[in-house]
Amino acid sequence: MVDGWLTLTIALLAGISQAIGDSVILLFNRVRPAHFALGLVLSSLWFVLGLLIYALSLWLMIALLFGVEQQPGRVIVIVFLGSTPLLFGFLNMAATLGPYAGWALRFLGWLIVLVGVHLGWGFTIWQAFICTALARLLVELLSVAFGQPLDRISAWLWRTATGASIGMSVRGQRSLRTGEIQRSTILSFSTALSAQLFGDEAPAVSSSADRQTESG
Amino acid sequence: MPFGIVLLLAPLILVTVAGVLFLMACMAAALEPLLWWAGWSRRSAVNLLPFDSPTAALLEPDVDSYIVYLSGAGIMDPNQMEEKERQFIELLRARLPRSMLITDVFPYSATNNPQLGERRLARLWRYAWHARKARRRSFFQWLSVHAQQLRNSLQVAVSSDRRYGPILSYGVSQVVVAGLLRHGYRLGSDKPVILTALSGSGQISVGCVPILKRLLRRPIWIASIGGILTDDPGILETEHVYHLSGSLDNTQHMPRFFFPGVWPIFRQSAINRARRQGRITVFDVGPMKHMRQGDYMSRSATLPDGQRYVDKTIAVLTEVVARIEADAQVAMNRSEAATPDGWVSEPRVGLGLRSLREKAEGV
Repeated sequence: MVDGWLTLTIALLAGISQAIGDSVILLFNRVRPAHFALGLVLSSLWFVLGLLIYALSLWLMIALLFGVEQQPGRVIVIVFLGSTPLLFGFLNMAATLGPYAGWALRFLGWLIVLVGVHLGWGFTIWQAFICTALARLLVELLSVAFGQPLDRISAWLWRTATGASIGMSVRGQRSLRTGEIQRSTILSFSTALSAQLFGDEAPAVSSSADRQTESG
Repeated sequence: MPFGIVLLLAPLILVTVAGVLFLMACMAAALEPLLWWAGWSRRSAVNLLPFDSPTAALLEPDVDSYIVYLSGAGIMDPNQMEEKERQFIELLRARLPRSMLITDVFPYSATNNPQLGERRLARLWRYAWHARKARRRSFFQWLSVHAQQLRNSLQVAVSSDRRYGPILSYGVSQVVVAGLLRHGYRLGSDKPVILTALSGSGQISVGCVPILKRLLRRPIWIASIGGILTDDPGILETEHVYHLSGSLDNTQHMPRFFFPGVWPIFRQSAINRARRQGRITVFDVGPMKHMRQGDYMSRSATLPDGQRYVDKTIAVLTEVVARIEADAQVAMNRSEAATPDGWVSEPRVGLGLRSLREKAEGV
């Protein structure tokens, strides 16, 4: 099982690299360096767990659609191998261009899995495509079905491990990645700072900009 | 390996390595405001405002507006501007004696730490500073000058990134407010605040507007001189953007390559909505370039009517400031009658600017 350990190492490192790319999640929470490191490890484990769920759904698809029966180990190895491009996941942190780099890396990873399924089981490219796409769909359906308990568990885990409080659920982390939480948090910080500056609770400005923004 | 394959692969490898290095530079750029916010940097105080400042008790200076000048990506320290920019500021000050011009804000740092300030790469930036003055530059001097501009340009990228932009903007906004207070601005003043943004600071100023509005409880105007305007949602909170555009300035159109939101097909993007709301007015100021000879501050290049480029830029800016002051006054007078504390400004302040534009073009 050298292959297995090697690919697991790759997946864990890719998870850490991805977490560095997403470090805004931790740094926006103003965590301490030790908690930051712990957050990276936790994030890496979470990432590997996600890969495992995807691998199992891919294995299920291969078995259900094409009647190929075998141990899931081989599928897991292929999916872990597919995380190789994500060793550069830290580039996701790059300002403005980072998300594009992230998409490119994830696309490369998916291509690796596609080719792995194509070569590993002698499927045509289209068959391999259907397997990987349906497996992804299954994972998405699972996350919808079990989204809420998963959210609670992940939020609790993150809070416990890192001491962070802002946006620690799965959904919250997604909002931190898109910047929604940063914007709303900073704006409420600004309002609070303004109250401190003015020393009262005077109403905020009402201008044409507000009215037009509200009306969309 | 056959020579042909090596020849084919070499450029690909070089481009990939260059791309990865560039992305790493973009990463480093994002780290600066992030580490400041997280409290990991030496300048860890997130609140930058002088709450105990005596300026609040002082009488407000007798001016009609406050203009915060935010320089382009070439700036290293607002207190050590290049001669050309310094003269531009002096001319602007002379043409706008009733405006308080604030020029000591470095918009490419959340903590107002200029490139020539206390930094890890201070030696490199000082080298670049001297290299800029050299008549003939060596390769390393040329490289350092471009690295200096790249560093500031990447802060523009940070500002436009939804993940980091609010953090950088929060710092810069506090610096702007601190600058206003230092220059006698009284909180709650009815004098309009205008961000005059050159080049990359166009995006930075747009990013700051929502925060500044909340801090000052007043509308904010932007006068952009060839400014970089992306699809930042802050533009929808800007009272009005007056954009001075040179026909030979291609750099101002750079966002088209990196921000699909500026493409007209994305009708719901912030900048396209702002355009439809009449919130942006573009002035074609003539065949001006973005920088160097023939730019907005050029004293040697002239328009067909003999007017120097710098004079044209200042003339249009003067008109813009006059218009903003008039709009602000009208809005203030009306709101005093309606609500004692609200500052309900005129809807669509930018409307009716066709005459202004024609007037400006005729200057």
